[in-house]
Amino acid sequence: MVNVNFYKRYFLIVTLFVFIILLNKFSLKHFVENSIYFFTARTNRLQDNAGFIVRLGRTLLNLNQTGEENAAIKNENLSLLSKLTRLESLEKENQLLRGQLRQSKEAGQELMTAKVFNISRTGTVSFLLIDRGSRDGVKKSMPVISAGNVVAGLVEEVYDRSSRVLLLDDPRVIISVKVGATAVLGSTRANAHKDSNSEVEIDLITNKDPVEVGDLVITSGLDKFPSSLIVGEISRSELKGGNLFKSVTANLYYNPVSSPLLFLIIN
Amino acid sequence: MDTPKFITIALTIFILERFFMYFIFLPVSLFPIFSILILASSANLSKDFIQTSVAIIFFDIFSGITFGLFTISFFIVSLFIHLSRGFIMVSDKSVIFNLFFTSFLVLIFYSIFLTKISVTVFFHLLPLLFIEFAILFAILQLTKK
Repeated sequence: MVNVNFYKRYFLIVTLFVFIILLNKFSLKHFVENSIYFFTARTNRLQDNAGFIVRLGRTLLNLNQTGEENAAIKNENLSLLSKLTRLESLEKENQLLRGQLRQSKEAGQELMTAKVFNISRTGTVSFLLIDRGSRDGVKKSMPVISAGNVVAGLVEEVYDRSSRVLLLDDPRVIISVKVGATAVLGSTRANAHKDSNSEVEIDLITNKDPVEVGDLVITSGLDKFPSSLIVGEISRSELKGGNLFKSVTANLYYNPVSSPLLFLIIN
Repeated sequence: MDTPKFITIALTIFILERFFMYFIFLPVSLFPIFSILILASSANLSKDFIQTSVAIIFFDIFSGITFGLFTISFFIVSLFIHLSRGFIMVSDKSVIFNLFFTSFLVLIFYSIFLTKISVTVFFHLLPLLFIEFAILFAILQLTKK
């Protein structure tokens, strides 16, 4: 039995969607992503104050029970507490910025700060959305680091006011690295995640290369990343049978939850 | 599935995936699996197709790959569900049959979607994908009236 009603709706929706995709890509310059991400970034900033708003709301609700004077003091106290928390957060951010900017100045790197407003991580994809886009001069494939010269990932897609950053544990990202004191060359490759750990395989390590657990993994400078940025440390190094190459895994140092602040390397 | 219930579940999945993604590990996004299960057992495919399509487009924006591929994979699976209705009526079949049939549909979806990312990732993820699917399938079976 052929359901004509379904086909009508199906082709209408598919045609409409294909039209939207084409318009979005070629004429409106990613209008859909721009508007949705812009809205998401704004709501995320609102969340920063959400805790304070909730506490303030509770205080206001208690006004009738505890008396106006008491509530006013509580309110003032709350307001001061909120300011203090904000100052502490700014101080921490300031320290991170100062430290990173000093290091980058010494290395001759020009940086741009960006804030993460969305983290997405499944077994198949691992990316962030940041609040800097083409208007700020962000370009595709720009390296992204966090405080302490730790590699976060690289820019994959640039929108007007935001960009999508692929993390190192996304299967689409491959970078050239050096391992250990002898600087053995290798390349990272992320497999499908099987748990929430951020780790990558290090390929091209031969059975004679002296790679041990605990060795530091840094960028080699042979690709888009400047050399000597920290990637992570070796968590497993095994030689199976008569294989030419070792099976090496590294834990990544970058943790997206630790700080929403990132740095894009401009030059 | 009625629209308010659908919107509630879609919103819950969206919030869970957006805000807790780094704490709760999910091999793949829950929403396409949920949508396929809904469509495969739908009594009114035309209506359910529209509401799931709208939601899928929204999830597509946050899929992490080129906008459109996620939705197109879903459209292909939807057409397959519709065409298979001529000889397979999910409501008449046993739970085990439905489990295998819908898992096959989910595999079609992810085999199209993951070609853009990596084919090896797809094969690595197969066991986890099936476990996640089976859990969602069991929840929907248990909560069915």
